[in-house]
Amino acid sequence: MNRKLIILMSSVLMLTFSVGVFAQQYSYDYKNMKMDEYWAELSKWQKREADAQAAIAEQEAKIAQLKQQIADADQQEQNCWNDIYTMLETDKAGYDDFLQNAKNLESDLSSFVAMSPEEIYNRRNELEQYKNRLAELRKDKRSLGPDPYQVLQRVENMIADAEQKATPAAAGRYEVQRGDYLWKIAKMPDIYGDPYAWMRIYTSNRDQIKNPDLIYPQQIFRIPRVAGPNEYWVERGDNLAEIAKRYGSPFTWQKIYEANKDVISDANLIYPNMVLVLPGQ
Amino acid sequence: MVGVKLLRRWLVSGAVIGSLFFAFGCTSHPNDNQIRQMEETRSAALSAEQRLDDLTKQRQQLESELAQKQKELQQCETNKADVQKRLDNWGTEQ
Repeated sequence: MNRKLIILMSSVLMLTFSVGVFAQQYSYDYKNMKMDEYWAELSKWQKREADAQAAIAEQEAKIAQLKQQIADADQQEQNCWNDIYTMLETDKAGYDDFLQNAKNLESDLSSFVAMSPEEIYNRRNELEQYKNRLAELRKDKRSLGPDPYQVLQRVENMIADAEQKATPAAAGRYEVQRGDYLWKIAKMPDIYGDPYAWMRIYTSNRDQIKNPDLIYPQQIFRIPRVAGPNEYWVERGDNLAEIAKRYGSPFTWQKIYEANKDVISDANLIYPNMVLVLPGQ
Repeated sequence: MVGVKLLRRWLVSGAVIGSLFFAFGCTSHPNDNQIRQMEETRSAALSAEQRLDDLTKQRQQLESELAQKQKELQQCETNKADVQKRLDNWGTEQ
């Protein structure tokens, strides 16, 4: 009886013990950890915390130093700007105000430069006003400040661009050379750059050109860039009734036809680039 | 005879109790306080490491901010010299 009891109890104990040992070896649960493992684990975490705290102190010191350096740099930059303001005999508000004026001029001019050469040419008085505004701004010492100086340089370039752009729109003159013909003249880049615009030269100089196939050296032709007040430049899709309608009544097309009979052979046939005289305008 | 039996019974009982004690109690495991201490230490370490990460990022950000400021300062000094040159010329132009 006793022997059986001892064997049974020993088996139960061995089984229980072996399960406990197995569980302790493969569990990360602190409850089942052995004390030596516990102390090792605790020491590991304590070391990690201590290392992190030391590094934190180091980083905080560096951050404080960096903040101080940034504040110093800020102050130096402020001093530098104050020096510039003093040199320009102004202060920050005055400088900003002037810069805004320069930017306004630039903004106005940018929309002006975007116009067609003809529009720029027709509004060349405005261009003169822009030039005057630029000259006024240039008289101010603040125009030498870094930002206004750059803006005004751009403005100057834009004015030059606008003048360059409007140059072809100015009505020009062309003296016929030996070997010229209207198609060739119209094709020249500084004339129209478009051979089909020969009709414009022909119809604008009808007092000199009776036959477009016959032009002579030393003839001086007018090279119009924009339609005059009593003129209409025919575009693709136009017809006399349509043009007459724009200027009053479609029934007056005959008047236009009569006024341009020297260049219109058939009232139903007008061509793009023709320059028509508008009677009674 | 009775004494021997009694002794054997005591020995068996002692062995059984000793084995039970060894199996369940004698293998020392951390108690609740120790576990709490471990959890707190672990949590503090992880928290410190997280703060260190944040500070490292902040330091890097400040370093780039400082570099930018120094660049701006250098630009301002260049601008100042340019303004001085233009002022010298402006005097003669005007």
